Amino acid sequence: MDRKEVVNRIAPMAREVFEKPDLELCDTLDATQVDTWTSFAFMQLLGKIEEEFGFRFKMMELIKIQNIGTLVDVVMQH
Amino acid sequence: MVFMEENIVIQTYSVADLKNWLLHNRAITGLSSEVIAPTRAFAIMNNPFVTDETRVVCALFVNDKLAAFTAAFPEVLQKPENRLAWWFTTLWCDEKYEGRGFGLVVIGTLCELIGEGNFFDVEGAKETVEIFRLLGLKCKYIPRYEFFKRKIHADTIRGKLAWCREALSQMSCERRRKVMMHQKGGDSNYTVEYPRFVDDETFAFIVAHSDKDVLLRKQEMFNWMLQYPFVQVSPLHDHTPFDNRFSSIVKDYLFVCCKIVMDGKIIGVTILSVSRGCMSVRYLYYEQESAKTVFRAIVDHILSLRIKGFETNDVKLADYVIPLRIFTKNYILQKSFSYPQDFVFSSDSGLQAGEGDMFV
Repeated sequence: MDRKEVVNRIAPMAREVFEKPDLELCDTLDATQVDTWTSFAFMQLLGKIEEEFGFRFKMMELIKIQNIGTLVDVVMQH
Repeated sequence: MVFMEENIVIQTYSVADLKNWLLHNRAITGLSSEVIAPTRAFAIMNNPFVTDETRVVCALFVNDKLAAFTAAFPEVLQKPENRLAWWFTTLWCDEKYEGRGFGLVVIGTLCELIGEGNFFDVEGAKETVEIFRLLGLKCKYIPRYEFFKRKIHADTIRGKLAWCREALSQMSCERRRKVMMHQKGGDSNYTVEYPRFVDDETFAFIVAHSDKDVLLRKQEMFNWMLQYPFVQVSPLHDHTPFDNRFSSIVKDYLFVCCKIVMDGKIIGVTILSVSRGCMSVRYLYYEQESAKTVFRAIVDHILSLRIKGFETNDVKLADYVIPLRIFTKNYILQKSFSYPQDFVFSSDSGLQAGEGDMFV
C-alpha cells in the first residue's frame, strides 16, 4: 500500500466527517486550516479509518498525529 | 507550514502519588491542582476500592505544558454482583490542541491500565461518547426530566420591582402547596430524617427497592459519596464563567441523604443535591404503595427551599410534579451512558441520575 493509495482512501472519509466535499488532502493540512476539524470530527475520522483499514490505533501512535501527513504515516505503519 | 518540534509526555499518577503530593507535600513531576483538584484527589485516595498502586489520573504534557488530563475511580458494584466498574470523572483538553485526539489518548491510556471491559462513562459530551465508542463501548441514552421556573431577568423587572416578583412567587408557592395538600393526596404524616451515612437498615431498603435499576452501588460507596462529594471544587481549568445550574462547578451546594419515614417505617430514600436554587434527585428508592407520599416529601423540599430548577430520572416523580405547575417549563433530555459490550442493559431497566461520577 503506497502513500498515495492511503491518501485516496482517507480523503472521502475526511470530506464526509469535516463536511467539506471539496477538501483536498495534503501532508500539511491540519486542524488549524479546516474550521470543521473538531475533536468530534477527528474522533469520527479515526473510527472510520480503523474500520476501513482494519486496525486499532495505539495511544502512542495518536500523539504523533499533527496533520494529514503524520496521520498517513501512522496508517502506513500498520 | 513548519511544525514546532513537540515533546509529548504522557504521565499517569497512582493513589500513592496523590498521597505524597497532598499529604506529604512532595513534588511529583507534573502533578498540580491544575491536573486534579485537591478535594477530588483527596476523595479518590479515600475511595474504598483503591490501593496505593491504583493509577487514577492521566495527564498529557506538550513541551512541559499541560495539554490534557483525565481522572477515574473504581468501584465494585452491588448489582451486577461484584462487577468492577471504573468511572471517568473529568476530561480536559487545551483548546489549542483541538482535533488532535489528546482526549482519546489520556482516556485510552488509563483504559489500557484498567483493562478492557471495566470502564463506563455517564453524561459524556458528544466528543467523549465518540471516544468511548472508539474504545469499544456501547452507548444508551437515558431520559432526564428537567423543570424550570420561567426566568424573569433583572433586565425585565428592575430594582424596586424585584421584591414584587419575589412576593408573588412566594404567594404562588403557598397557594400551590395548599392546592397540593388538598388535591393531590399522599399522606402528610411523614417525617424526614437526614442521616449522615447510609446505615444497614437504609441500605437494605435501597437494595429491596432497586429492581428496575441496571446498577446498584455498595453501601460503602454511598457512604464514600456522602463523605466526599468530591467535585465540589473542580480543577482550575474546569472553572467556567457561565452559570451552569446543575454543575458541580458551583461551590455552594447541598448534598444530602433523606430518609422518608412513616409510622416508624422507611417508605423512601433519596439523595438530593441542591445548588443555586436548583435541586437534583440523584438517587430515589421508594415503596410503590407510598410513592405519592415520597413524592410529596420531595415537593415539600422544592417548595420550602424555593427551588427554581429541578431534575430527576424518575418518570413517576416527573409525572407527579408536572401537574402541580410549580415549574413553568419542563424538558426531557437524553443523557449518555457508555458501557462495555458484555454489560446487559435490558429495555425495562433504568439508571439513577447519580450513577458514575454524577452524584453531585
